[in-house]
Amino acid sequence: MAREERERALTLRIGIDTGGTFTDLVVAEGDRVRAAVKSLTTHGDLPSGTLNALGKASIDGEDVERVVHGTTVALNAILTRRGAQVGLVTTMGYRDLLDMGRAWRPWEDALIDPRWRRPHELRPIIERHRRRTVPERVRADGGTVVALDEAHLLAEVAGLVGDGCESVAICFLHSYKHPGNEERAAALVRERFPQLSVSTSADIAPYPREYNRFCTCVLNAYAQPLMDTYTSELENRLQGSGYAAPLMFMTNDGGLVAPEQATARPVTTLNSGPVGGVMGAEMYSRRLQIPNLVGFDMGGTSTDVAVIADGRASIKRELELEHDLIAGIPVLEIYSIGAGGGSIASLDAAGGLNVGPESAGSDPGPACYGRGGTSATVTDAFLLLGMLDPEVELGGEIPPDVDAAERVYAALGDQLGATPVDLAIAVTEVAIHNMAEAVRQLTVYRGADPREFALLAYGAAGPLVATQVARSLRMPRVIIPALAGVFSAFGLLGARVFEEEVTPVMAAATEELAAELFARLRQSGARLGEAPGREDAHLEFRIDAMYAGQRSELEALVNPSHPQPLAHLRAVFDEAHRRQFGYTLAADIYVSTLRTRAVESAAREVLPPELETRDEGKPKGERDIVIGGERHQDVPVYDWAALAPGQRLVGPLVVEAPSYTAVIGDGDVAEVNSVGDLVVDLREA
Amino acid sequence: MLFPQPTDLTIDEPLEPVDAACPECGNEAVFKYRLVDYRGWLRVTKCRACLNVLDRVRIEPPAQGGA
Amino acid sequence: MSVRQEKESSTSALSAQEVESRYGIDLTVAEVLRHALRYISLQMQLKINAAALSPLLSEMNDFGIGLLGPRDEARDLDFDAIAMSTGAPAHFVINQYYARMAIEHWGAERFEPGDVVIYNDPYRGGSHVNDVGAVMPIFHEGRLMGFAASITHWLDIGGPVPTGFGPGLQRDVYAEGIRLSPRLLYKRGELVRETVELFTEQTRIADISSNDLQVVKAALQVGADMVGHYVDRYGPDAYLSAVEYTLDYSERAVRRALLEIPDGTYHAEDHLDNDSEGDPMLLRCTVRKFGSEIEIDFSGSAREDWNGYACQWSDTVSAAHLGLQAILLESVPPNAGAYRPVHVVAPAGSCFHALPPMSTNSGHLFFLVKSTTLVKMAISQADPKLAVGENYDDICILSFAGIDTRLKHPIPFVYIRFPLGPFGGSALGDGCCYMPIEEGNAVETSIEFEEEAQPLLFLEREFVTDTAGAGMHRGGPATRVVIAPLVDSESTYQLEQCRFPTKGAFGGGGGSMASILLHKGSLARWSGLEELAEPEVVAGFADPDDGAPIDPDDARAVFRISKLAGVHFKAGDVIALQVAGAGGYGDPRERDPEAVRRDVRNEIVSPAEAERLYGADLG
Repeated sequence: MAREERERALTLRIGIDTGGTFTDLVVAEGDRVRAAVKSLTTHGDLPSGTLNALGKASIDGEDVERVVHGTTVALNAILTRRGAQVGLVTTMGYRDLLDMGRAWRPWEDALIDPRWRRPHELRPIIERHRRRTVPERVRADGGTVVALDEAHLLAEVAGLVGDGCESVAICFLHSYKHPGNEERAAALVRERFPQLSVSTSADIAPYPREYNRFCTCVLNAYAQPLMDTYTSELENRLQGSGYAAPLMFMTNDGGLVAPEQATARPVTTLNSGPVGGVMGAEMYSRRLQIPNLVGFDMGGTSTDVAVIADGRASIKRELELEHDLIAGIPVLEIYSIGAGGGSIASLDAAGGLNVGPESAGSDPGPACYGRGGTSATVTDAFLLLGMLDPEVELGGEIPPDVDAAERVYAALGDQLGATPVDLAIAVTEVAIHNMAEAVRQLTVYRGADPREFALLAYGAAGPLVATQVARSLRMPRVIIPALAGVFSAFGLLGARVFEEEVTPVMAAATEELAAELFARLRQSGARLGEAPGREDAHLEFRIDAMYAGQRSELEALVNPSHPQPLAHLRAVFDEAHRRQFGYTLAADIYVSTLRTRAVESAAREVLPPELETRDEGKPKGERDIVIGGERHQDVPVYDWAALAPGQRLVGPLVVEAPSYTAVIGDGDVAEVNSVGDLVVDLREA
Repeated sequence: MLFPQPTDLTIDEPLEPVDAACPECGNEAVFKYRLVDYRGWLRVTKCRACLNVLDRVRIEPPAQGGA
Repeated sequence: MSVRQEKESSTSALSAQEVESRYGIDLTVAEVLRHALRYISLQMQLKINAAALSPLLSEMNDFGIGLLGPRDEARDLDFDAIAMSTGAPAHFVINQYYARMAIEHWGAERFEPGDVVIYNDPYRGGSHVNDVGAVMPIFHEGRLMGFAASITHWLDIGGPVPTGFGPGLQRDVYAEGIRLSPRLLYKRGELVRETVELFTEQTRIADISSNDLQVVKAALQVGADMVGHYVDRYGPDAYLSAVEYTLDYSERAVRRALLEIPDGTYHAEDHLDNDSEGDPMLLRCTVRKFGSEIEIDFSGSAREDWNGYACQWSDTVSAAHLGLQAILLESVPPNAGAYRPVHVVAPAGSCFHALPPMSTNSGHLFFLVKSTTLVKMAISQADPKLAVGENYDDICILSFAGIDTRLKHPIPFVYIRFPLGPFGGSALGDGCCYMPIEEGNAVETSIEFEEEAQPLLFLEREFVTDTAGAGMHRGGPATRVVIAPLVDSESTYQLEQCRFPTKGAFGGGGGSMASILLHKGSLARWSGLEELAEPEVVAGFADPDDGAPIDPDDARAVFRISKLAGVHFKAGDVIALQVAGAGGYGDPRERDPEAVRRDVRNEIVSPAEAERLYGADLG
């Protein structure tokens, strides 16, 4: 197809983030957002909600170049235990790892609780009778201790199939480095039981640490059949409705994969919605040239925090769904705390005030939803303090019931002898400090100074508290993006397709080894780069390493053509370590894995639409509001849609947009940029 | 300061009977003995029935490390 | 106001006005700072996790770190612990005694900003020589606002036994390793080289020590800086008021929980498998509880014994507190306020209160755990709601040291493993199958990593059928760990419940006993899927003729000491360590038949035992 023809026909890209309540959709034409819509998520028939959203945005399917999707299908299958009937085949002697986890109890809830039980014991993914062992064992160096007993293997799998299993996880020790037995076992099982879904641990999570890898593989096997159904149905429904453009799924590490890959590896999509937000933060970091940015997403049940340092989102080695129920694969780091709008404020027997982690959810939700909720939530406090407009529907849908909010706060306040508003102040302050603590987790405690970061606030409630959270951290600047209410869907548009090759190493780097590793990276790059359709791809080379003696990997980008491999390796690893932990060590560098990534190089920068030049917006009203514990009277309220580019506003003030409300503190200065982002400089704290 | 192994097979904390009834509960199980509270060693006069402490004196322990 | 009234008022929640009038700060500031103190200690912990080289600190969380208040009589503050991290809970309480005695020895007035004082003498309110204490003063504009304090378990502290645990080999405290009275590690922010050299020259872990000593300081600094942040924001007086408020809050929480326990005197009795001669050691605990006061008394317990069969009073007290905190249904933020209602009687010269020069290095673990267990056992009798069956009841050790000959240039290796196990049933449900004892909260290390680093093969780690104590809610099953050294090795082991089964609660049955068995030269057989060589009992009951396992009730049975250092294993030996099964809760006949069927299906209980113990008709 001729180039200009393709450009004419296919100009739209669509990001769709299917969340628990809303399906958000953002359409971009070239590098500009053309439309953004919210539509209710249709549980039980998710593709319908997607089509509804597409309908709302009135898009012609023929104009669409690509649809990028963030989904929680795999995540929900696991959290609700509605995954497949699944069995495990593992190395002799290791039947019970799933019930052992990593042994430890959760710090916060059960540190010394003798009655605590592991989530997998209480709600097993695979009960013990479906966990089978086979004679098989290799050493760390790959030497065989016990050969794979193939007949035994097939007999065990036959037993699992007979017991109703539709999916099986094959997990052997040391397989990430010596995958032979797993591969052989998978081939035998697939041949004998072609209808069975098979996941192998080294294929799903090619990294050391048996528990992490096995658990990841088991979660994959558990979610796989459901994901298969979902992806094929969604693709069919989209095509049936005229959307023939390629459908891509967002992965936990910020990449895009085709439906076949998402189907085979559903664990790579577990966090795909929230990761959209992090990708959006990366785009903002580049566009506004703010290399250090904290992404701050306050939602209904939790607040998610992500850090962009030097323009890159930080990476974590695992995603925890429940205690020790983990996907042990690289993910964009998102630190989540149980403090959101629906979080419940409670008093314990000793008079201590706690906010969250219990949440009123969306049904019945906060008392002010008027759906019979009797818990005092953070959203109710925001309403009582005037941060939310008592006249404006919550989430565009629900008329707030101020009396209900006041009743629950009065009831709780009576126990303390506090007025509803005073209690609401205390609840809000505790919640804000909890959120600030989440930001500290990713900055201060790693040796990074939050004063060198800007806070990018999104999600329905992020802009409400952003300036107060920033102030308590002495962060100088807050950004409230124009599309804060649909930010994850927006961020999906910034993702790029990549393919990755992973090579295990597990050795301390010497001059000799570093040279060899760099040669292997170059070979791997050549292989990936030569694959069809990769003409434009650019290559990224990563090492996962640790200082000798440490036990957790950290990734660093390397240039495998560097003339001094070891010195280069040390320099880049030291830098990565300094960025993550704030210091370096003189110890040897122990390399765990090599990863080569071919990334599509087409630029994926997307901007909100330009605001039209117009007269500066005037306040549409005013109301009393408490900010940071201080009462302010007659605070002006602006309609975001009326703001002009370049307009400067001095707090205290409120900006109301269709899908969020921003509260700007006393003396803070907000400037509206050309696309309608609010860039807020905080008054010296 | 060094100690040999005790010759008794089991060890009790010595309780010194106090000739007084507990002012709180009237019980006569009042003794003087040593115990540890959250800040360290005390010599207490205490009712074993209602745990009322009639008197407490902090014991400044000698460093036992041989210093 | 009479004493009794005072006690009652200290159990009621405060109104916003009472907070204001009593502490001079509003509820918001009080609550924000109460939460902040907990966060600060958590962050101090994360700093150590992230930066330490010793796996005991990075992964196994064998340390305690937190904040102490200043000495301020008017506010009733006396270097009290105001926030503790969630590392090893065994260190919660002890940090106060250890740090306070060090501060007093050094002289509170001598501290300068940037100083760090380090110490490890267990006879100064500590636990064992491997637990290294450190304090850093927190100043604000010249005023001492308190201390950041830590206890970190050093992987090796010198002395005759690698890792330091030398039951039977360390007769007295002089045989344990280096022992430091309080001294400067940092002087006004500058590392004191001679202090570091004590560690680099006298322990087996020079590199780890020189890094981790600096990590300790960095973590204490996090605490000092964060306190500084809040003092700057709210002012020193508001900060100290919030400290008072936070301590009182925890005290109220504990007192309220104590009020729920029926008043009375509760006795518990248990044994340690053996003393240094191999005879059982009787352990007794009496809990007296009245109102919101509690006294825990270890009178009647066995005398201390040489060779590691004793522990420090400070260890006993800390563990007794832990037993109480564990058995309460609500979790209470650990700080000095939470410890106020508790008195502990620890008779001097008993195994729970060593007198110098007894060695307490190994006994630290035995009696720490037993102290916690005894308190839980005693309070379990007070109320079925609170009761829990006995857990595997040990901080077990199995270590291997030798020369790793797999490499071109052979190097020495030291490996220590703390096998974990099951917990007992409770009113809420079955016991957890596998987790650390309450004293610690270790993360299980990766076998793949261990096999890369040491010449050891980890052949098995699995639950064992018919080991769980029966009950309406059963205990967790025992776990068996099978290890084969690939080179000749010297080992230490410490394992409890090899002589006495764990106990159930409220009609629940006991779990299976622990043991260590040796299958000589059996790695080749294991590889060939053959039967292993006849086992020889290393720890547990043995036939005196051939060392084979024997029924404990057999008159010929001899007990082999379950704690010993300096034991030699050969390359290719197969060593099987099985911890105890945990005790059940309630009458097994009342167990939900579906739960029995599930246990049978999952081979946790065999069909025969299901019928015998549960009367199950499996049709």
